[in-house]
Amino acid sequence: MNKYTERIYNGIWKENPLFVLVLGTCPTLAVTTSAMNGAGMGLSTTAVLIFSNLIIALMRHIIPDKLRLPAEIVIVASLVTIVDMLMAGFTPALYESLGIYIPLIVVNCIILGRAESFAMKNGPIISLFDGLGMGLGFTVALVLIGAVRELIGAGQIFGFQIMPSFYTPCSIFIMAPGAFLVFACITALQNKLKMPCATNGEGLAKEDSCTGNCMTCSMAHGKKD
Amino acid sequence: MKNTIVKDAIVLFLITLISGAALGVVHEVTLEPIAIAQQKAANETYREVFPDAFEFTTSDELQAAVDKANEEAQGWGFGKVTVNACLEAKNEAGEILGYVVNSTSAEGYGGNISISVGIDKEDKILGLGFLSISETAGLGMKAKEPAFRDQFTGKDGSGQITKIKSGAADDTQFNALSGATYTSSAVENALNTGLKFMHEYVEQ
Repeated sequence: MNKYTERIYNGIWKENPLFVLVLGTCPTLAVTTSAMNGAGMGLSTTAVLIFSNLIIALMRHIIPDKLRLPAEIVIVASLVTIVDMLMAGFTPALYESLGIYIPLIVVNCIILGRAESFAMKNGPIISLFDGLGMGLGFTVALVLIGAVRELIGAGQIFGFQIMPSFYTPCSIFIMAPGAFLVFACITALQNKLKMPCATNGEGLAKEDSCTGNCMTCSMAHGKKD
Repeated sequence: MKNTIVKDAIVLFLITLISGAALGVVHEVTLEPIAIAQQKAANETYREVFPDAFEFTTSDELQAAVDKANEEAQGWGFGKVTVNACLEAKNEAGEILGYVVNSTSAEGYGGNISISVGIDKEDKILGLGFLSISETAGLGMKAKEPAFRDQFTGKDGSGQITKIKSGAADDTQFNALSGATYTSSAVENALNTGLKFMHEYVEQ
């Protein structure tokens, strides 16, 4: 496996942004009411993540260390707005289904997290693949949670009826509490199986990613200054 | 540590300048396609709610009536509602067959719900469509499905239309979506805003 495909495997499985790094939980709780919504949010995020990682990696020597955050936020926010306008103008059908997620991406911490922990330290091409992997990992996670909620809460997956007609959908699963229930069950399962997860005991003790565990984070303790 | 404040400020300034310029360029380029796309989407909805019409046009009088109604609409008892637009639905010969009225209730579960309603000259509702809606998938979003939307076709729009929770709806009632009270109320309010506007502000 070369280093590019490794980034994709890493994003989808080894360091899945949602299940392992536990990043981007706010949009997860908000938009996973159905599998389709999850896919929409995930793919929009992937598109922005690829470009933000690429641009920030290209500019990593220009951006002063002290100004990392404001510079990154300006770049990500501009990028998201540009994607928003281009989609509205040239792909109206796509915009109708994905448009509502676009503004949410500005403040998605996966984007900023990857910019901070990967793109600022690596070359543009590998950063692009990192963005692709992380985005796909996020998409897979959102679709998974969305599908479970949709199945229990509406008896459907991707809008297709799955459950037999006598099944009465349990609507709470497509409302806010359902997101917590499903997400909590998955995390509990990860804990039980001792799978890697930032909220799992010691968390990950790796340096090249935000592990969600601020106590052991290499970046939290006064970076070189 | 060297004082780098001037250099840092210049770099950040340049980054924001370039970002701003890029945004400006993209805005200019997409302004027209966005307007065309929105117009096209709206026209498709008008055609759904008023299938017999050939074209939809607005006039200064109708626009003035819309403006006047919006000054008073908050006091109509339908909550936070606005009338967005009113168009004449014409056939190929240019005769007015009826009207399409767009109205919004700000009190959906997920914010604004904008609907478009086609009404013929006998106050019969020809169809109801959604211009914008962002409710909960699987609950409020079911409003867009034909099962809910199509029940409005053929209703009597000469008075108010009210929602009922169970039983068979008569000519002035519709069946609410179960589990989506906010959505149903917002549709009810927006619809009645449109109807009241037609009765009291538009000379037919």
